[in-house]
Amino acid sequence: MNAQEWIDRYVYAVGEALPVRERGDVDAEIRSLIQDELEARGADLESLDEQMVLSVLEQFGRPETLAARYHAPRALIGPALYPIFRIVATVVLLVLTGVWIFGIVVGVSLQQRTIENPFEMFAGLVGGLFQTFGTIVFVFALVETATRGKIEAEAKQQAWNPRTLPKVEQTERVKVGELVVGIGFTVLAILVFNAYPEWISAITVADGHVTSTPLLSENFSAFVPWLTLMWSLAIALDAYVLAQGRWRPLTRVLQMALSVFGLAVLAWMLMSGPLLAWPALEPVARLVVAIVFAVTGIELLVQGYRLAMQRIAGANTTGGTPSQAA
Amino acid sequence: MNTPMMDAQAYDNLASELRRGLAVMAVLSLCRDLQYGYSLKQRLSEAGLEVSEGTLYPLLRRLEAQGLLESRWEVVDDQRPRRYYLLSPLGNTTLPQLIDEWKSLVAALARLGIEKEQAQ
Repeated sequence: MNAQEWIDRYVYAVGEALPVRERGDVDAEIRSLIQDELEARGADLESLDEQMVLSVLEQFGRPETLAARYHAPRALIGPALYPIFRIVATVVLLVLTGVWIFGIVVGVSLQQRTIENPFEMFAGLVGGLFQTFGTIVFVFALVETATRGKIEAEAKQQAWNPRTLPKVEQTERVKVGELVVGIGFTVLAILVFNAYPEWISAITVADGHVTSTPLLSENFSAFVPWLTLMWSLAIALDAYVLAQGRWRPLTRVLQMALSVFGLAVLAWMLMSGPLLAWPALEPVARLVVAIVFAVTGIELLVQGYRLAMQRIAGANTTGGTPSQAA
Repeated sequence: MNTPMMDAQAYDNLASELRRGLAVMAVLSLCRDLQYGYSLKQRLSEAGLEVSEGTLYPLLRRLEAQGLLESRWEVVDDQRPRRYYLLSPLGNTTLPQLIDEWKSLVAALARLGIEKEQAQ
């Protein structure tokens, strides 16, 4: 290959990694520097030696490294925006997944749609998640371009006061196994109650005939969408907590809000008509619902008490500091 | 006893970090006279301060962007353009400050006794 062509390729590769407005100037400068180097090695600039040119280029180093030194690499989403981006992306993707699960199970339970190809449906979710992620990245990249460096620059200008440091949140480590098993069972419950309610049936053998009778009443199916909504939200919350690695006061409050929602649904169930198609077993079903109601209620109270104690403890520790400093 | 040796690449990174800081001062002081990229590289190299092309040439542009150097293109041998650099008035006032800073750093390191410890 022509020796000059190697120089052209090198300069082009450096330029590719630079902002357009800087390309022309850096291009001219690198060409001139390469020529200086070649001249110093006694090269005839009119008829360049390929080996010598390649050796000079090797000495100049990788084009992208050189370009990075001419101009600091640009980030699609800079360090100032990245933490907000992470939170937004995590929450939006989890909510989207929750809504997707809810939409499918409600659709199936209302017999408006059937699951013909689960893989295709899952691929639809994955595609949707990628598309949403791409949109979030795009929006943040636009904000980054519009505010390039301004956020950091403004932050640097403001005098920093250590007293503005946020309080250390009372966090609890997540019990991973417990959460994963919980999510698994919740998904199973959503599937069974929505897609395969016939699985919950009583099997009787009489005169050698096996008969299967659905256990759940017509009345019960009215609660399924509400239970599904609650379970979907619980999965989204658990997955978020799992990703965060710890419970924070906010996630605990959200969990308590879900418990209150659950209590409302359970209470409504207890006050409504028959839950089972089999009157003989109705008292048992009501007892089970009542026990779940009681357990959820007690858990809610314990959590509320713990959270309140943490708040009080937190207020006491931070209350003392300013007076000591003053 | 085996003397532990640092990985060559990691050592190079440490050493070039040190050199990069010094290169700023060396380049500014050389640019008290008109210089171009290659002449600077040669002068530094002859003095024993090896700075790679990939470090030196972008550094010149940064110093110019900071207003410490001025540059102009000139045609060499009626043939091709070459960029020359010269210390700007701002560079002229900043360089002595940097040199003072450097001296105080050397003195501080001496007070820490780094050379003595190395001898032990």
